[in-house]
Amino acid sequence: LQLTLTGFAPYFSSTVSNQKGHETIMGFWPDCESKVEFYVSKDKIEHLERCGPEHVFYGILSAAEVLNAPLAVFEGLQREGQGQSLCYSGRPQQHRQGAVMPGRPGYVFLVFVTAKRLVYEWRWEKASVGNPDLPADYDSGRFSKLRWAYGNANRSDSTP
Amino acid sequence: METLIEVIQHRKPTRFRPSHYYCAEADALTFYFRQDEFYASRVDDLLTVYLAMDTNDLVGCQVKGIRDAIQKRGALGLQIENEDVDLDFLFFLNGMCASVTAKPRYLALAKLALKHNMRGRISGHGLIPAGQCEPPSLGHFGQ
Repeated sequence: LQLTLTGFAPYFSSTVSNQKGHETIMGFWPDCESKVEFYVSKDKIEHLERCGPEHVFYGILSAAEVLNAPLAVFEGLQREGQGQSLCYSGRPQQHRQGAVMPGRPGYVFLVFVTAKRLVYEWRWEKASVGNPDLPADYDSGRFSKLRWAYGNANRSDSTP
Repeated sequence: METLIEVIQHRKPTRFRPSHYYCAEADALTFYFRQDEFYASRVDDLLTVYLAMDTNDLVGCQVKGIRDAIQKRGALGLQIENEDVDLDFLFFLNGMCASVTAKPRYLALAKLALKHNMRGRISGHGLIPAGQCEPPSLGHFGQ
């Protein structure tokens, strides 16, 4: 498995619409030619706005960027009910209140999405030394398979 | 149509306070004890801890499999519905089954949950943190 980032990730322009209890953003879906809608709970956004942490609240911007331009997408989390959930990995350049700067060296930003495209978690994790586009323990069995990787579109072989 | 950037940038989080949030769709409970920027580190399949970028201090965590933990609690004769309860039980219950190396993490989190008076109410949806509204019907996100 070899991945390389060959250029600047395209700036994203996610749109938001109000749906029942959720904000909607557009993003990439493996094996789908057009962008699709993802959902973020309004309740969660309001909770973060009310209590913080501030960096998690503004992390929604980084999450939206990763959903638009991921470096890899894993499928299947090893727990009940999450067998078809996806994990997007990327190095966003949007930070805090929209500041543009390179991603944190040695870290990847992960976005977790249910099979029904509900975005429920976004966070930094240490990157793999051998594959800096992927989380450090990507090959530990935490994911069922690598569903898609930058430069290897439609790849769906099992994670080594 | 308003962009996500505009929506988020027009809002400003208020002052930080320790809190927890339950996501029914993911059956995951997230705790934030401190506002430091953090990275996540998986302890086991049920627990991910948040460690401060600068100091590696424990500043939060995510606990998965809440419904199962509640069932275990009921099996121990501790079933309580519609009353706020201390949430340190989640760490004690999961910690009992954790590996030797993971146990200290669970113990530290139980202490933090107690220190910050993290409480929640068990309901048909799973668990509602005290102060968090009853989650709306899962609708098409339901498992």
